[in-house]
Amino acid sequence: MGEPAQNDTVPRPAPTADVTGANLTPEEGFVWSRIDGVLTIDELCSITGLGRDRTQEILRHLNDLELIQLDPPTAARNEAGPVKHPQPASEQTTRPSGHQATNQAIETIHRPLPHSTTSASGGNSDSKGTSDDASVDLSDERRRAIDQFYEDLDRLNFYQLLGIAQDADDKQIQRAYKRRSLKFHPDRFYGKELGSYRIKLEEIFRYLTEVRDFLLEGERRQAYDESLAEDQALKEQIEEAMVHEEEILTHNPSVAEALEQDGEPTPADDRKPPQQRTTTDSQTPRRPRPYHKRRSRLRLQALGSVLGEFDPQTKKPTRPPASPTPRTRQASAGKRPTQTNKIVQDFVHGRKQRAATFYEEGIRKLLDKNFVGAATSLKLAVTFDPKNEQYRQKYELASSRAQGLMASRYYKQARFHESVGRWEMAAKLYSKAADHDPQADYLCKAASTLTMTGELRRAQEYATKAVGLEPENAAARIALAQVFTAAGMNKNARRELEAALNRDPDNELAKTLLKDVRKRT
Amino acid sequence: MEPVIGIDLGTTNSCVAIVEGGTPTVIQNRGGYKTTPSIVAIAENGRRLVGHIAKRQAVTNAENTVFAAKRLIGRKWTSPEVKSALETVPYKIVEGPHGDVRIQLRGRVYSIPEASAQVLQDMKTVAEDYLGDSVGKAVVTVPAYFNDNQRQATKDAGKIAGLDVIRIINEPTAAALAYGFGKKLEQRIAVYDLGGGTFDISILDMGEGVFDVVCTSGDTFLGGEDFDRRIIDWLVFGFAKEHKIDLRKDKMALQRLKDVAEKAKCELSSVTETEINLPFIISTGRSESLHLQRRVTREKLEELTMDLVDRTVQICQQTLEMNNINQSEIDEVILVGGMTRMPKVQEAVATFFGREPSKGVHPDEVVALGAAIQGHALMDESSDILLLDVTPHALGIMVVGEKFHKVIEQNTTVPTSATHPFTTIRDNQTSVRILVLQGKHDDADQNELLGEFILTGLRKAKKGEVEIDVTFSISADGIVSVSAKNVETGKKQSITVTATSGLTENEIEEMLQESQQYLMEKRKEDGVEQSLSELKTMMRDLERLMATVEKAIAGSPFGKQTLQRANELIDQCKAALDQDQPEGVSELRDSLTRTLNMFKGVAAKTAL
Ligand SMILES: Nc1ncnc2c1ncn2[C@@H]1O[C@H](COP(=O)(O)OP(=O)(O)OP(=O)(O)O)[C@@H](O)[C@H]1O
Ligand SMILES: [Mg+2]
Repeated sequence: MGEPAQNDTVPRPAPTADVTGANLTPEEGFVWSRIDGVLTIDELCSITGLGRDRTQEILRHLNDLELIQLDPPTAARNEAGPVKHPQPASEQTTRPSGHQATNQAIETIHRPLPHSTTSASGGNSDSKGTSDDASVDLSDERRRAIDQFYEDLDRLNFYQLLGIAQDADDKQIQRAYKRRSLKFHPDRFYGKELGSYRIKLEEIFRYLTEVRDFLLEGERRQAYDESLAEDQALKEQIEEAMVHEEEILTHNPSVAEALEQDGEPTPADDRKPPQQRTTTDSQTPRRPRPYHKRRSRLRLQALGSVLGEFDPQTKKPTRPPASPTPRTRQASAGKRPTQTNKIVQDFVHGRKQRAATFYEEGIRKLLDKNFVGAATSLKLAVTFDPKNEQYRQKYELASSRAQGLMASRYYKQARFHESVGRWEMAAKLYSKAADHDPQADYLCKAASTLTMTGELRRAQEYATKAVGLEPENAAARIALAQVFTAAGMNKNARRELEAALNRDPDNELAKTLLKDVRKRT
Repeated sequence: MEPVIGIDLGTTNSCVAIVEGGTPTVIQNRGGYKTTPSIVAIAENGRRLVGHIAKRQAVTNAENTVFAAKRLIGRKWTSPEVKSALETVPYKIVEGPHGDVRIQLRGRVYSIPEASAQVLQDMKTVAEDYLGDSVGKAVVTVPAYFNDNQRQATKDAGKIAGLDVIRIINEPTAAALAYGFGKKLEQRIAVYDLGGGTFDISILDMGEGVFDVVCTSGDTFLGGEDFDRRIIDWLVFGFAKEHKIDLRKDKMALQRLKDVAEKAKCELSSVTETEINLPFIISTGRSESLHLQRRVTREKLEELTMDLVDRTVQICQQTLEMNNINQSEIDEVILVGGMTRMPKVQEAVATFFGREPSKGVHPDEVVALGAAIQGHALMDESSDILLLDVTPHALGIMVVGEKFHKVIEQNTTVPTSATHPFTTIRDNQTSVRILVLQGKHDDADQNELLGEFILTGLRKAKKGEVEIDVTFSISADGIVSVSAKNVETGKKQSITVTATSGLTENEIEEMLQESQQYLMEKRKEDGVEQSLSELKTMMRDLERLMATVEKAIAGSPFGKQTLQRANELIDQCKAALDQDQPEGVSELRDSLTRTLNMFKGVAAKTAL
């Protein structure tokens, strides 16, 4: 036999050898069959299951028979080269072949690596951040974009959210969804400290997905389109009423004055952003621009967002206050001239007559169930003839119906959000409903959802209001009690619960809660 | 930017890739292969074998060779998959301490993630050798049908291998990602993946750099190995008819049959006929050995495996039908898995979908490439790629009658959340137990239990009066949390469902330590081996020079002394080489180097 082979020698089958001509045992045949030009002698010894000595003996025998070649160790690996799976010739490679990889891998095979064990145990920076937003790893611009869009979720309709036309086809919907995802999917901010923005992003993304799925379902989309059309009609009514109002004011400064002196809020007025309100109430600066204009704009904004139709761009002062969408503008444009004439005419006939005209108009709208429009007209009637009880009654009726209408819309939306666990949104909408129509039901709902989201002060406001409104209502007491419980004010909670049980001795919920509270105190 | 590798941890083969300079590249292993068998074994001498080498001895060392660990990962001891594995795999499977599955090899018990970790570690090393730097982060792929426990167990395997698995993604999604990489396409694509052990079909939508899985299904026991088995059976049957010997009874013969069957199968993808040649396969018992020699044509292979190919097509059909998708809506078909190199498979797919499959991707690399691309996209802020993955299984809770009530449907894009109201089933029921389940069966116990918790303090009332809202949410990285809320009181209970891989944190930590230890020792051993082989070379050189030098210097006393010392040195070397764990190797090498240099000098002078 030849010289003793080294353990890291790689044996290779001799290319020309006729194996069947030799006389081998199955064991030898097996060892021969393991030789593939990749495994070293050492490796072969460990895999044949025949033991090191027997394997080496067989290898020597095979070598003597010239069935295999024992190449020097280093040369062998480099020469042997990659043994690839056969690949169809038609296949083209889409990337560099990476033959460089082979060489590097071979050269460095025995090189001990600088080994880091820390990388594996390193903390997961992607975990849900509970830290405050000060440490959030996002640019101001990004934050603003996220905040803005998050707000938009309950302001814009589905089409506006995706930034598509109402007649967009499925492909366009998908495309728009993907574009939005690229902007707001949490993965876009992987490894960043996101704080509360993580939840916002998840919420946005989930909502977008729902919207997309919704719009891709023909039937649901159709129903939605119909409800949008209804909204649109309602909005047109409101707008008409407002254009009307505005025109009166523009042409008749005295009316504006009259209105201004009359501090009572009109339907949507209480939704004035606080900033604006401060300006109005403070002594200086006085009237940055005509009051009625500002007021109409504010109201339009308010109404627009109620309906989820308001285009955020109209907030820019350069755009005219009315008519956010072309279609509306057209609709009201047709009616405008005649109305204007009529109003101008009317105006000449003293305050009472004008009041009567507005009243008439208001009643007509009331009969049309256009409550918002009716409220506007009747309000004007009351303004011009404040002593007329009939006008006032009808105005209050229309106004409360208009408020109630909006409130019930908010309430419906709120219930939807509550049902899918979007507590914050639900709380927001319930409070809006309660603001518009402070009935005990709405107030209680607002209070309990606000309790859940931790806005206890506001929750208390609503609950207290509910109790004040209906002191005998056990549910209101319970709502207040829950706020107190959440705030840790167990004594107060207990008082309210006992009051609730006084009024409704069988109320199981109050009983359970009282038991809990007693346990705690 | 820290490098992130993408690993396709397959049932039969694994593959590693990385994005370098914006280009995704597969990294070859030391043997020059782009894929490495997902096989680990413990050799007789206690050494761990991974990959190709482990495959070459799989049958003869069957009890100590773990293959298809992926079929067991994250499964419960009581699951049907484990029961069937108990009967079919040659290695010993035992129950773990947490109702999980463990493997016993040469007297030591290993967890399944530990076995997979060895493959992952091998892939990590391949990447590190290529990059010349350590690698800490990886994206690892799993089949789309993997449940949370299986995904978690795969993550744990990564941890044990010293890798931070930053994301687990679905194989078909990864394939689509790699296919769509750098292309501005808006398409609905089908991914047909026929690997070594499993078959999957998935439909995805892609566009605007976003990838969205529409649906996915498959068969976990259908793959290339079934094709191999058909060839083996055919060979064995033919041999038995001729010689009345069952080759399967002989381990060595069976190993050779397995190797050769797969080789022939692969060859028949590019040629129409090949020869199977197994000389000296078995002894006749009369000190004589028999050969197995047979020609096999592509046609024969197709005939043997026709039903397997048909079965994949049936599954495609069902999947499309179930999801109301027409073949005509599919814009592109991507082939994944080594088995799709078989022309018959390509043909069947082309016929079914009515279009030629995409030729642009390598079926056995595309998944790893996709994983690397996703890893890169996550780390790179400026990336314009976003992968939208879906929940592989419906999530829900157990309701009355031990039924499963879904709250989040299968194939919902994550992150997501959903709420469903539930109520009490008994009068005066004051608490409910929420069992969080994952799966598709109506019977609760047929699904995976992910966790449970109890909501207490319900008002005593008639059954059906108290309302409880159960909310499920899944974050972008697949973490499931569940909360239950008493609607009346607003009281809330919630858990984050940490899927159970079957291992505790401590166990994982221990296994990590151990695997690091092993790696260090192995590297040291490799170092020792290298010194020993150098020693051997030098010793042989010294021996060769001995005669020449002897002639030149034997005359002087100094020369005699030198020769004597040289001979002693050679004896010491021989003794060291005979030992398994020799000591003082480096000193020996130093002395040897000095002596050798001197000898060379003398030899050079005498030659003049
Ligand atoms: N050229 C070829 N022709 C036919 N089959 C091939 C070819 N190359 C590889 N295969 C087969 O492909 C299978 C391996 O495929 P692959 O590496 O994709 O599987 P895997 O990803 O490990 O498995 P799985 O997807 O089931 O987890 C093996 O059965 C192998 O024999
Ligand atoms: Mg695969």
